[in-house]
Order: sequence, then C-alpha cells, then structure tokens
Amino acid sequence: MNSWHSLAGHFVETAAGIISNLKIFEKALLGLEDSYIELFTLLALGLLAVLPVMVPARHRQIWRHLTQILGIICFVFIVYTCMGVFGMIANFFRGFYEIGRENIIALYFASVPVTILATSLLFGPFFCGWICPTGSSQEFIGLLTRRREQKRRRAGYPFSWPMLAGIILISLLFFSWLYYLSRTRIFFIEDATVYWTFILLLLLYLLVWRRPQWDQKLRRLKTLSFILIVAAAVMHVRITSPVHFGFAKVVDPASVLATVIVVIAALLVPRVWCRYLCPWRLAINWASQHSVRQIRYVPDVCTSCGICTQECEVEAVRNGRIIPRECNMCLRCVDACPEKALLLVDVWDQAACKSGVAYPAADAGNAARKAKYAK
Amino acid sequence: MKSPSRHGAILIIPLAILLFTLPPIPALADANWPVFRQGPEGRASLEYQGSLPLLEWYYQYKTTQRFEPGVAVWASPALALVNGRPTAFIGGHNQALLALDVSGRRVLWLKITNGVINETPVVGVCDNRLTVFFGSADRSVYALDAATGETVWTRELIPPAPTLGAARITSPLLHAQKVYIAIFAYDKSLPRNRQQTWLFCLDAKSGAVCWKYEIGRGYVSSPVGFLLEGKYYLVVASRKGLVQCFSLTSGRPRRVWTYLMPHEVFASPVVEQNCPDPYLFLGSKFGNFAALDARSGEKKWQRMAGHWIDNGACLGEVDGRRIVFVGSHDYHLYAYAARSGELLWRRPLGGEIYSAPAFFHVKGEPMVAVACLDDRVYAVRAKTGMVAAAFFAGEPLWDKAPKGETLLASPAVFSAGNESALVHGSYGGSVCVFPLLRKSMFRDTARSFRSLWWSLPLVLVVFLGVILPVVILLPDKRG
Repeated sequence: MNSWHSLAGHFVETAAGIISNLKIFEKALLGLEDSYIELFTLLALGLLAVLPVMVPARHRQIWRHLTQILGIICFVFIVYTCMGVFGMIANFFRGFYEIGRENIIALYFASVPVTILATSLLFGPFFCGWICPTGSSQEFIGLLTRRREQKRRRAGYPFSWPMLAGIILISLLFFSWLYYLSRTRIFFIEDATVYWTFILLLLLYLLVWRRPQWDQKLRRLKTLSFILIVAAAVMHVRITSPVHFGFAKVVDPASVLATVIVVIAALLVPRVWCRYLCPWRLAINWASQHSVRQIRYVPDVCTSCGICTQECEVEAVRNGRIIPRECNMCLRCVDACPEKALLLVDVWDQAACKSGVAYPAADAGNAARKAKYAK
Repeated sequence: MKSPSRHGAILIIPLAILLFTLPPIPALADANWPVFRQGPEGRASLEYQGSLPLLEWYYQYKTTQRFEPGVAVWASPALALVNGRPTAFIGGHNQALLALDVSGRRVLWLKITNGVINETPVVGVCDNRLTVFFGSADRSVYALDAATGETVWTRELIPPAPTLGAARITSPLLHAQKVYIAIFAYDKSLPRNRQQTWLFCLDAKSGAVCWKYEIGRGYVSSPVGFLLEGKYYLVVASRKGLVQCFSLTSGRPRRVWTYLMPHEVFASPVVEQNCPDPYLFLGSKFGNFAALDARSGEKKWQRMAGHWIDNGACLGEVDGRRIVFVGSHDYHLYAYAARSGELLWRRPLGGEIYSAPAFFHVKGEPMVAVACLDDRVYAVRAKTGMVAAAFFAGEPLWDKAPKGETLLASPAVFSAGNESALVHGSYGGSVCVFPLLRKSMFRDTARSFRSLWWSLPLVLVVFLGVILPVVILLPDKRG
C-alpha cells in the first residue's frame, strides 16, 4: 500500500465494495422464498414502466429523471438477477432452460428480462429512456456537457482538439487501471467486458474524425454485440457487463473499470454505450416494433425548427422524423416541440390514432394540441 | 558361573533381532494431522521431504447408488504419508471415506458408512499403527487402519431411535491417545423432543467412551485443542455464536471461559501455537473477525470484512511475523497481523471465498490456498497477496453454488519442495489434485497477465481489419 496506484486501487475497490454490498435482502433466493423478492421486482419494474404514460406532460422530464433515479435505486438495492445488459440476456436463456424443470428458478432468472420485454412490447422502449440504470448514469453525467454537445451538433461535429485530449485522457485511465488490475488479479472470461470497453475507446477515436459520416453505420455494432452475448449465453459462458458490480453484490473490478470508462465517455458522446454497443437494445427494438405507445409525427404543423433534433441526445430524430430503432422514448422531443408536431399516441386505438388523439387524453397540453389538430 | 558380558549378549542379541524384524514405526511427521485442519493453526498442509511425483488428477467416485439429490460434496481432506506415499483421506455425501494415493493416482481403499461424511478425518498413530478417525452421519465414529482400511473399531455415539433426526457429527480431535468428538442429535418425537450436543471422549485404542459432556443444544464446530503451560484446552464454537473453552487436564472437561460472538459462527476457531499468550481467531456471519485471548477469552481486536465469513482462518509465519489469513464472501482474502490486527493486505479474487485458507511453502516461499465460488482454487503469495496460480475445479453439480452457510470443502496441500500439490474436494463431484510446480491443464492461464495484454492488440486488429470495414461498407437498407 505504499504507491499511489495501490492507494487509488484500494480506494476504488473499497468504494465498489460498498456499492456492491448495498442490498436490502441478504440472499436473493432466501428473499425469493420468504418475501418473493423477484415478484416484487416484477411489480416494481412494471410500475416503473407504466409511469411514463401516467405522469402529467407538464413536468414530464422531471418525472422521467425521478423515475431514472428510482430505477437505479431499484436495481442497486433490490434486484439480484439483472447483472447488467449482458447478464440479462444470459439470465433470459438460463430461465428459459429451466422452464418445466425448476419453474421457480426460471422465474428467478427470467423475471427481469421478461418484464422488460413485455413492457417494451406494450409501451415501447421506455425502459431505455426512463429506467435503465446504465443509460441513466450516462445521461446524468452527460448533462454536464450537454450545451457543448448541442453546439457541436449544430456545427456538424467538426474535429475537436479538446475531445481528442479527453479521449487520450480516458485511454490513459483505462490502460493504467487495466495494468493495475492485471498485476493484482487474474482475469477470466467473464471479465471480457474490458474488450467491450476497449472497442468503445476505439470508437471514440473514430468519432473524433468521422462522426457525421459514420455515426449511424457504427450503430450496427449493437447487432454484433448482441450476437456475441447470445452466443456466450447459449454456451453458458458468463460475461459481466458494465454496471454489473452495482447489481450483483460482488466486487468485480473489471466491471467497475468498464462502468467508469463508459460513464466518462458519455461526457464526450452522449449515451455512447447505448448508441453503439448495448446488445439489449436490439431485443427491445424487436419487442417494441408494434408497441401500443408510439410517437407520431404531424407534418402539417411542423415548422422544421430543428428543436427536436437538438433535444434528442441519441440523435433519433431528424427534422421531426423519428428513427424508431434508435428512439429511447424519453419524450424530450415531444415535450420540446413548440408546435406540438410530435405526439405520443395509442396506435392500437385506431380511431384515436386516426383523429390524432394523443395520450394521455386527460393531458391539458395534448388536449389543446388535439383541438388544434382537429381543426 | 557365566560372565556378566555373556548374560548381556544373551539379552542384547534377541532384542536386536526383535528390533530389526519389527515393522518400522511411522515417523511423527507421518501422523501429524490430529485435528481437522492439520493443527490448531489451521494450516492444512503437510510439509515433508519427498520426491514422488504429484501429478494432476481428477478423481470421480462412480457408482449407481443414488445419494441426496444434487449433492456430491466432498469434505475437506486429511493428508498423511502412508508407507512413504502421500495419501489423502476424504469423505463426502457418497457416504464413503476414501484413501487416495495421490502420487500413484489410485484409490487405496474405501470404507462405506451408513451416513454422509461431512467433516474431515484425522490421522494419528495409535497402538503403533497409523489410524484414520472420522465421524459419519450414522452417529458413529470409525477408526480404520490408514494403510489397509481395515476397521480397528467403530463406536455408535447415540443409540438409534425411530424418531431420531439426522445427526451432525464433527471432525474428531486426537490428543494423548484420546479422541474428542462432538455430535448434535435431535429427537423429532413430541414426548422425547430434545436437542442435545454432546462432547465425547473416546479411547483411541479401543473406542471405549471415557466420558461425555453436554455442551449445547445446537450445531457446534469441530473441536480444536491447544497446549498452554502444560495444560490441554479444547475450544468449540456453537452455531449460535457461543465460544466455549474447556480444560481437559483433570480428565473431565471443565469450562474455563465462554465468549459470545456478535453473530452466528459457522466454523472452528484457530489458535496460535508455541506462544506464551496465544490468541484465538474466528469469524462470524456478517463479516466479524475477532481475535480472543486463548487464556481468558477476552477480546483482543475485531475487524470487519465486507461480507460473511463462514469458514475458518489459518495462521502462518511470513518473515518472522505471524499472520492470520481469512477469506470472506466479499471476494477478498484478508491478511492481518496476528497480534495487532493490522491489515497487511487484502486481495480480491474471482469469486466469493467460501473455504478456509491453507498455508504452505513452495520452494521456501510462503503461500496461501483458498477456494472460491467462481469454481476455482487459488494459490496466493502470502507476502504480497499476489495470485500465483488458479485452477478450475469444476462447476457445481446442482443448480448453483450456494452463498453463505456453505462450509464446503477447503483445500489442503502436500508441500515437498519441487513436488507440491493442492488437494481439493470440489462441489463438482471430483477430488482434484493440482500440482503447483508442474504443468496442469486445469491451470487458468488463458487470461493471465501476459495473455490479457496480447489479446488487446488482437482485438484491435480484428476490429479495425474486419469488423469496422464490414460495418462501414455494408449498405444500409433501412434508410
């Protein structure tokens, strides 16, 4: 404990240990037996998923941030079986295998991913924009550089020396930390999350120069990420993901490293993990293709002011047009549009959809919008 | 009249013939496993001078007999040299005690009992014969010849009754030709409903019960004994946290002191040896790790781990300093200075540490071995806490490895210079022998320090050379 890096490592490990020990229940399975903890999780996640369509539109973004904080608390303090975006895919398969053999175990493992898929099926990818702790942490840290990011976006993402300097600093942090870890512990295949982090760093370097040209194309990496994680899950190989350490009641230095890098990288590119590498996003896309709640664009009232494009932090809106596979359903564009050209609608209610009835019907703002649109 | 020298010759010659024809008495080192973790310090290692090869070995007991479903746990092994060959004695839920010739990679003998064997056997010389003593859940204690497996004696401690629940029998303690063993038994019938824990003292030669003494009404840990100023003391810790120390000098046990730990205790304490005022160390649920004065039971210091400590500690000497090692479910192996409680280092490993550590030397370097819930056994350098080696011990046979209250098997070590090996009863249903200085296919080197740094350029090349061009050049049909 005599060198600075040992002290720093000790500090980080202690902090990670404290975070990872913050579970309300001592043991997940004991919780399952005695207090139905995973059923409670289902209920909690279900309620969180319903919240976006229940909150008043007036202060929707404040409600969203509150829900995000609740999501982080729920995952860190209660949920045992999340294990991050990689772990949820693995747990889904694990639960699937157990159906018919050990149904309670199947419920234990599959409850969280199934709840997320089911709520995505019904309400769209609300999980990403309202609940996901990985996304929320990136979003909260991204608030610090939001104005600068918007300015760069307006300028068409020119080459930026400060951004390059930031990436070099992040890289130095990554490699020095990795060096410390590799000297003090043995890496196993579940620590492959460091490779994802390494790829993330490479992406940052590419984005400094080629962001306008390659941004959308690089988002296809999510598919590759998904395939790799599914293959690992089918082969029963566990790979821990960023933020995993916060959920798992374990000390996982590789996951801590990945989390720190992902969160810091979100200062330079908002929600960088969600944009390019999150494998879970692909499953949510598939589930939310025909969801009840969708954002509809009303071209007649759109003035092409570009505010929605500026507001969207994952660049899923282009002049009012929503790119569903990238949209997080944060509804920031809906709330920001001065002309109310973007509406949250119930697409299963054909009559309402055709007449442009927005959801929720009791929403005063949307009611006025509806009246305006009905004219 | 015969001369005195002639008389002497008449006596000496037959005596010499007798001495030369008698089988050699095993050396003291051969029998040095009188308590469940080899000694009061819990080192669980047998250091000897030998050159027989210790190769890697995965032994699986194959049988058609069904045991408790999903469970095939092997207890911690006891090690001994039998006829000069390193031999491990290990029991498990297969109800059998096996003698495994670790060097020859063969089963010497096995003894099937009528109950599971959860606890470690002990090995000692009794009646000029190396003997293995162990308890089984069939409420009996067995004494077997270590070389042949021949039964020396058996003793049923609790008489059978149709309403008797499964007994929980501890590991024995061997001292001065006496076997001390505790047993917890309960009667499920309403009229005879009782729960009792007895400490038995048996004669090591015949198995006769010398005395029995009620020490509680719940699970207790295996007894540990220590000598202090010529008097012999025995310590047990109950599951409810009560640590009791008995003096055995007067024959019958006399309670000297008690100490109540703040939470449940799952494992036996360890005690310093060759020390005028020895300390006793034990951990408890929720991570309390305490050092008590073995003479008075007074608490000397207490430290907290991040999670449960549900197995024992072990003591070792590094650079003349006495260190106590303990693993916790917070993934960390802790090294404390035994006298002051100062944290010397702590090392996160790949999984929750469920086993008691074993302390040993490899080529003079002090090492510690522990088993984790990431299905691996680690050898850690005792000076710095750096991981020296990790071995894959097999995945659990049942759905998942349990957390807390595990008390699964802990590794033990044969340490003979160039021929050192870890012996571990894995929850994967195998007895594993991992050589420390030879090649082993189960050694986890794939993600070692060097391979980690080699893999990063590989990822870089694959990403920039294959993945990126495909991602960029592939036409986007989605618009």
